[in-house]
Amino acid sequence: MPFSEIHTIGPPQPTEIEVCVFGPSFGECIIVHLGNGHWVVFDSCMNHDGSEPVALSYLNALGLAPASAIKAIVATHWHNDHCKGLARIVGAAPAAYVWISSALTTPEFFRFAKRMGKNKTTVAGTKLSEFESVIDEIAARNKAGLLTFGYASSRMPMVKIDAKLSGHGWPCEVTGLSPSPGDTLNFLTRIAAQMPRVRQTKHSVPSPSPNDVSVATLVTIGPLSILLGADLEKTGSQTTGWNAVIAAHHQIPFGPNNASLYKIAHHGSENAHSLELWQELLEPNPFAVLTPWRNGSGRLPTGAGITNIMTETKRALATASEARTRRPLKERPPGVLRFLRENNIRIRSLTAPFGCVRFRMPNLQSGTWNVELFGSACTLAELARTKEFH
Amino acid sequence: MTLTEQHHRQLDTRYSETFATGSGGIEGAPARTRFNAEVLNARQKRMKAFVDSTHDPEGTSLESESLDNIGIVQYPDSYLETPREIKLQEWEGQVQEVGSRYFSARLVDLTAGEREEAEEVDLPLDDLTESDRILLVPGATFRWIIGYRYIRGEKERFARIVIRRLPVWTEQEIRTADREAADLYNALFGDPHNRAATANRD
Repeated sequence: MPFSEIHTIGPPQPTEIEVCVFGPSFGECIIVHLGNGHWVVFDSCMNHDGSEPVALSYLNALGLAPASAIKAIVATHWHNDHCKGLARIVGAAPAAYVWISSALTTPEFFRFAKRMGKNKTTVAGTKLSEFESVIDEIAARNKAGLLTFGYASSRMPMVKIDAKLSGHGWPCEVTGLSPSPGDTLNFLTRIAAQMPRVRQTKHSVPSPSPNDVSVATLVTIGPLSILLGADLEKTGSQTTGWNAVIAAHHQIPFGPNNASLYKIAHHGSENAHSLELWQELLEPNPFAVLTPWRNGSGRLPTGAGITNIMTETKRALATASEARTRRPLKERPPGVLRFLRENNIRIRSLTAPFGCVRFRMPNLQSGTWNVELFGSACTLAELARTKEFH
Repeated sequence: MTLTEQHHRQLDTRYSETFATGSGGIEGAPARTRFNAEVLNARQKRMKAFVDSTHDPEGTSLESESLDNIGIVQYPDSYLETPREIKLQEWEGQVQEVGSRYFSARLVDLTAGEREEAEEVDLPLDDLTESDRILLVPGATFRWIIGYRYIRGEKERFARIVIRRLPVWTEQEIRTADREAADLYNALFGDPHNRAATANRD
């Protein structure tokens, strides 16, 4: 379905649950309608023409006012494929509670971000610029007396809506599953090693791996559970990453039912694949959706990653197909185009056509998801067939 | 004779005319020192006389003296033609990966006035100088320019990749950043006396 038709059926009914996953091959944004006009935004990426955060575009297209619709914003982690436009969303929803990974609210990370911010050597700025803007926006709110900021960690209840206010008669809860204390400790150790120091050559912001301070989230709405995996990975330790989440679930189960919908963690990478997660937190053959990622020659998911997922579910989807994300070269002087052609240099656009997978559940009792694919979204099987993955 | 040879010959002539009596030279070899002892001695005497006469610690007569008088060689203006360049396209790139033959980078189109990375490319390592290759690591930034230049009236196309030599973080920058971090942290979490985010903890 063309992306332009995404708003034609209008906003969900107050009793209807919606999960919309946006992903243009580098970036991710998920918005969830919990019921009765209560929306939660997880991460941010820009819309198809890069003019506006897609969460704001989408809500506006549905005829909803972001300022009143967005009740909470969750920044799962600070990588720029999850943060683009986040500060504008925070600014557009002054009453929304903003949740940030607890590891990113430490004095050490603030110092890291501010020191990195002194590196003005690139036009594009640092990868932390957007995250810094979010923090500045929150600080401005705090100054104005609006205490709408929280730090997310394992078992942290982030949003609660009483059954009487939810529109469908079921209570809603959004709970953080990570980071664990072990994740935070590991992260701070790595940040300390990367901390800019006097007389050290300025360098770009590293992307520490694994992404173990990502905020994975469980959304429970009455009998329904939705697992949003963020970029959480599986590590060798039992106290970090998905292993820590599973261990916590063994102690006290997270929800009454396993999740029927899973936003696949870390773009479907092999590192994020956890058999225990599929067996213990998800229903058999659940709906699963991933946002592809590319950087240089790096591509996620890999062929092996796709195989892992498709072994566990036949209902896997992707928000963008690699084969459909090519765009013609920008208009440039003939001399430049001739040089590129003669030297066999191909410039690829990062502003890929947009894709979105939308899930709607009109009736919570039925437990049936209606699924729509927009733009370049496709099934994971179709993504696997594109030549890049052979 | 090439232009460079002409240039060196002219300099040698100038040396021999002005500084042939330079001290420290090896007997039989052309004098290579740049300072003429007689000129310097005469200048020192003049300076001493001047300082003695004025007793003004702020004063100086250097500005009014010619370069030859103070013993400094002034090279003639280079008459080698600087090529005139017309930039058709300029990008700022950030290296993402370095392979065995190519490196991949994300690009900001500076010609289009953009400020965000919107394109990516794989470029051959062969296009880099040896000194730039050492600097080629993930995260390194570079300028990539494609254009025309005129050399001795001839128009030719050129492409140039220059890896940036990055500056260092200064003590002042680190101190300022730490203070800003502490202020921000305390603004968010209150009571600064119970907080660990203080400047200069390194």
